[in-house]
Amino acid sequence: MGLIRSKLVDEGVAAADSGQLLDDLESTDPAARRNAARLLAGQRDSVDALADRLRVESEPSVVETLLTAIGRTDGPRAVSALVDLLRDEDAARRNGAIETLQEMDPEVVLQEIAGLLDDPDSDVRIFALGVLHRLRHPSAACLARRVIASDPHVNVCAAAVEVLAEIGTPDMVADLEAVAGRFRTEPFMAFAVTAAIKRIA
Amino acid sequence: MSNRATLKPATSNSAVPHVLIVDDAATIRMFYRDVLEASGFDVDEAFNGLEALEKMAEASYDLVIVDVNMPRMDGYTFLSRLRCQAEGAGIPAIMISTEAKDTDRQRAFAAGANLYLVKPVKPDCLAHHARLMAGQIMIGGAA
Repeated sequence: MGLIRSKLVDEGVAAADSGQLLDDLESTDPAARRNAARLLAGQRDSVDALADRLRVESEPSVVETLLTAIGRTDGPRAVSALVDLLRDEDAARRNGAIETLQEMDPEVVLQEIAGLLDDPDSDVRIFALGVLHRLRHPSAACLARRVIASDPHVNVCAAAVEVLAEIGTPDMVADLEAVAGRFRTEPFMAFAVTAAIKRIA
Repeated sequence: MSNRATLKPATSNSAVPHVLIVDDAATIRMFYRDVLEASGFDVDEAFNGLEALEKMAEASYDLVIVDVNMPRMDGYTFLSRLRCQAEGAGIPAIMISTEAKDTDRQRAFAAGANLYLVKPVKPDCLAHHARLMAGQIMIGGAA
């Protein structure tokens, strides 16, 4: 199915003038922008143009098509373009980027995301954990474990506990108990740790 | 603040207040459920804004508690759509998020939130505000 879809996309791009498609990304007509994004999907040379459009696009259906187009491109440039959106003020774009990253090459995504777990902005660290949550990479749980051992922010640690509740292993119980102790004045942390241990122990 | 939604609690016409919790994190939904059921609420849950809109079409609620960052439909979009519906325009909504900047609060109120709380919320604080917003208690005295 993937091969058939790729062939169709290639034929679409070949049939259309790629320069015209890049122009169409800036069209005032949302249907033209959506169509251009669809035809440019998977074309590595178009990632920058797709990402530039995504940063300013306000039409939800075009945003969704742009995210899909970049997501189907894969590779470090595409991943990096989506990671940049974790700092975006627009919640829909930000959450769309998280969902798309979760479906991309886990190896490439993990390399980008791991660095964000030390970002000075706690919100960015939480969004990075949101990506890790469903990344299906064997190192994801280890990164979340590192977060609960050292991150000073309660909400970042709570997000990491949520990750470990899904993909943690029994050997991480002691780390979970330790983070509950570190934030012992927060009832939610005790609740979340108890729930996580119940799931993985 | 002028575009905050007007409160119209107790839309479910039931003695037991009905609350919808909208959050993609299962642990958070469980935590809120425990707190609110202990405070006398009947609780429903939704995973994201889309699922919440479907639930709102099927049942009446006295209160909505909604997160910001969720897949498929975020909390701002959910509240904006809810406020456009006749049935959802007056339902009290508490938005609870990890984001604590003034711009986050302003965005929440612009979307239709009546109250903005920052995670992690203490159980007493959640129960108090939920009962207040759902019309179960009055400021300065019991309902």
